[in-house]
Amino acid sequence: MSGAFMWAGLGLGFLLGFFIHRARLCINDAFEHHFFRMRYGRMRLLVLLTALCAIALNLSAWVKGISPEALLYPLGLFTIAGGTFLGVGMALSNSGLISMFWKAASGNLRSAFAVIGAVMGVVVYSILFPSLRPGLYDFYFNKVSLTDFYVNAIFFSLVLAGLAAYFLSRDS
Amino acid sequence: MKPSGIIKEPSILQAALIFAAIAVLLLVIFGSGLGIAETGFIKAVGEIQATLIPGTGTEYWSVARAGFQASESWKGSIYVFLGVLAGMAASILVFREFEPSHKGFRNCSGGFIGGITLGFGAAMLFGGAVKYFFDTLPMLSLAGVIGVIFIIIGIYVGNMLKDVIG
Repeated sequence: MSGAFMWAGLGLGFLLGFFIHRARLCINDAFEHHFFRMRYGRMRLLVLLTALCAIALNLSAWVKGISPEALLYPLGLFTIAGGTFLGVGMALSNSGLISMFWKAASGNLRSAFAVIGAVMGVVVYSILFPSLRPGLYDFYFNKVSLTDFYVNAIFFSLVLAGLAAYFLSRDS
Repeated sequence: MKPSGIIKEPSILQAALIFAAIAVLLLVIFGSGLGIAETGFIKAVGEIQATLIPGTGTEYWSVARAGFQASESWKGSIYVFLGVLAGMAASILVFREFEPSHKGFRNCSGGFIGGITLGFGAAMLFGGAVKYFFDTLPMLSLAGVIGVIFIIIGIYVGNMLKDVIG
């Protein structure tokens, strides 16, 4: 791997981490505030960013000729089970997989223990994987399809942009 | 003199634009969006596991490396993850925002149980919520839509369970 590749990763990661902390980006907080505290600031950021990513990633993939297949996953039982586990874990630990680091570093004890737990969770899953694989991964509801991909992507981007506009118009 | 303005407290729109610009650069260089940082965390755990308890989980790590990640994304993810940690540390140090909490055992045990569940789910999905919200869903993958729906259901159920577990 070239040094430039490594420095690009470190540099972009640094910017990403810095602004994740400055913007207090946490997907769990967005939903928790929205559902249980009636505060909408984090949710507005979440929806707006999803909409912007939809437009920016699709446009840049199209312009630069990058295959979107790397960002598309097959759908299977693991998506449902993994999503539920992830969501429950996020709520119980009060943080997401990345936001737990800035929360732990800011002095949040719950997130500090969540970091230790998350490392253990990944290790435990990797050990259990051979027995879980036949049920979770060998049955796919559908394979990745790129049929009319860009038409759908543009439509979907517009829907997300509409949602973002809706949330931006609400008071936080 | 401390930085101020967009550096210190970006507005929602400014933050979203900055993250979207970083996502585009990550896509062009590594073939992955913002979720690459979560891939980096999982890869880092794999490296630690291979060092401390060699020979365990080899089937999972071979699938994670080959089946579900773009090769450039898998290779560069650990650097992005390390950069993210450094960026967060820099932000906390520059603005001196360290506020230790002194809550009890119940708070720690809840965080630990949540962390295990979170890590288990992230390993199952080969990524976390950032990947599903900002990479897979925007690229119109059906897996993204279903994954996001079940993450939201999980967050709701988890908040209900908080009263029981702590």
